[in-house]
Amino acid sequence: MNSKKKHLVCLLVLLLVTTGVHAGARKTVYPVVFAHGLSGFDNLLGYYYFGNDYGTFVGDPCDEFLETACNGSIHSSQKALAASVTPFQSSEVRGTQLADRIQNYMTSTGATKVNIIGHSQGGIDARKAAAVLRARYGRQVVHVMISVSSPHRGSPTAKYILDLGPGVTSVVNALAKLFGNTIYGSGNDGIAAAKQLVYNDYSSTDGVTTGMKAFNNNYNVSTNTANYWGSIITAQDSINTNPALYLLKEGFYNIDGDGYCVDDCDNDGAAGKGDGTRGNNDDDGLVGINSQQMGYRLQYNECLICFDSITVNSTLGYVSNLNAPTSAQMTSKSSVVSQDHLDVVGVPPDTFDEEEFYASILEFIVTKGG
Amino acid sequence: MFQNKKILFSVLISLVILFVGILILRPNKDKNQKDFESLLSEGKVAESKELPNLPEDYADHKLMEYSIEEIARILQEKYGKNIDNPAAQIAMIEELMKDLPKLYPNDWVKVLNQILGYAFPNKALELLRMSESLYNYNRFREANMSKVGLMSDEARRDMMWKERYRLFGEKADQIWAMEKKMTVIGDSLKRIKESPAGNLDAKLSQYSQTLKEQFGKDYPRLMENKRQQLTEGFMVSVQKDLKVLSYGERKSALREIRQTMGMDQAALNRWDTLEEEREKAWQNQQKYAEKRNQLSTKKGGMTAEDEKALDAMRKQLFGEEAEIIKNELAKT
Repeated sequence: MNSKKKHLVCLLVLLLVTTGVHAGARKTVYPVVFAHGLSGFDNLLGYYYFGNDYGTFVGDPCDEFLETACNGSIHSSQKALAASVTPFQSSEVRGTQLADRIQNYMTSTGATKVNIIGHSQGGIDARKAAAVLRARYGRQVVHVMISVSSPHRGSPTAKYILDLGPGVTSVVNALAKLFGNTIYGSGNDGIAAAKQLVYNDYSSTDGVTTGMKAFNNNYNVSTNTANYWGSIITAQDSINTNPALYLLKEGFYNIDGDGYCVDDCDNDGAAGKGDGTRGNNDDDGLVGINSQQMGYRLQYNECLICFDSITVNSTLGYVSNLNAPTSAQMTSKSSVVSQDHLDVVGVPPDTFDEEEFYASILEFIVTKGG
Repeated sequence: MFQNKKILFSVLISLVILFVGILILRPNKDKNQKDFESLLSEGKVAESKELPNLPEDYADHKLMEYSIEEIARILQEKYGKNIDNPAAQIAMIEELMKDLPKLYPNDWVKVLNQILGYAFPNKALELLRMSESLYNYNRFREANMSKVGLMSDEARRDMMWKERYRLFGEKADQIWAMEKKMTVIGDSLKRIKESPAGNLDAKLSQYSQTLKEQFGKDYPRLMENKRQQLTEGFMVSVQKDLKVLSYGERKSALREIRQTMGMDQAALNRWDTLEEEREKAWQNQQKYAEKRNQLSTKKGGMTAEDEKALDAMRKQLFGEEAEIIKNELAKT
């Protein structure tokens, strides 16, 4: 065997050893930070949110045969952090907290960069965290940034609650009804949280500029703060929606979230408008599809007899300015994951396989160099 | 006679109302629950049969890629050694119950019974009973989702554990072992938080001991995966103790906490640097807030010149983060 061949064989062996013959996702280059949404469901240190009913976090790898409290679909040496921030606060506050948590984690572990998967408001917090980290380190710290079900252009539900629409007695009680009683804990500010999720500045008399439009201008999609931007969009028919959200959808409020216009032309709290038909699979119980795309729209390919995967929906293009997506990006139902807002983070009832879903996102992150 | 007839009539009416009431209020069983019940009452398991060889590279493929007999053989290989452990049993059943209903929507319970019978004939009934319990537990969770969300932690915990014990008996303790451990740790942190300030060393030692007791031989692995979260959890709980310390004392206390939690020298050095940066940032924030307060409360309010001076000060003190701080001030 000549030396060239020997080198080739060595390289192949090395490749096999380093990548491992492994079912499911490969190990990401940088740790993955999971950023939770409004509320948190995290009884302890981020457990339950992004987890199952047995106390297993989707980012916990299995290191030995038959270890049961772990995600068998991710690499055995995967590094992940379930970051915990104040359950009910604006993304200005939560985003800085998230940046602090990430900086703490990087300091403890020596990691040089991270990837972030943010669910709901967690995807919004993550944008600010990436900007804060960029400023603190003087370089890009987030490699891949993925949002899941995030209301980047606002949610009509937030405005409805702030307006105290029919059925709502107070902002705090409405949020408690939807998300549990965590809101009564100290440090929480339900009104600031709700104002954050309305597209326009909610009030001209409160002395502050709130809302997603201003936030998007300050923390927009930019390769300065993250190398790759993508989003996963969820929507579901009312009948399959989580009972808590179903109430919201049918009795409390129903989002019509698949129409297009510039900014919030119908003043419902989210950019775009409805197409006149409610209950047609155009929202996930809390967020309309016209609010959710950031960067590339990602497609989740669920597979019964093979491992699930994430691909890019290349036909819809890239949302680089969060306040100015195209009509197609706001109205297309293409690549929408048919799950409600809470199904994707382990809240029952659902038949959704969170462990494999997040494993497929991790594998996708690997393909993007994260 | 008439009186007796009246009583009899009343009793009959009451019985009819009671019967109808029971019929109406009786929880409806779905087809899957009926299938479980019927299979379990028959007590029949699939006859054992010779299973095919273990497929090559089966670990690289999904279970559902294989035939029922192959699945049974893979389960033997994967779970056989630990099949007496309820946590392994539930993991196996979950793996099957995740995909079987999608592949066999009308008769997945029967297919499940078949696979369990092929794979573990001596345990098939026990495993099927556990599958029924898991199915009923999931239905219970669905039905109580909204209610549970509004309960206190304690009430929620009580309700869930009551149902777990009802359905799984003592096995529940092993199935939810991880949750139990994390609850113990959470409770320990809560006690530390509620205790009076002082004795930081004792609190750290108590916390560290709790972690070791709960995780035993898995302690090093737990720390490898969750060192940062567990360290932060403790620091949040001892805020009262840390607040009364001077910067130097606090720095030293934090270093000791991190060291006890197993951080190596390199990590401790990185933390020293970060603590210094944060202290400096904190002092800068104080300086900036004072100046801003002084300018905004002066007679006649802030002039354009003042705004300019404040902008310059912000840039000088916070560098790249100055713009972010400006955004925050506009929004909070």
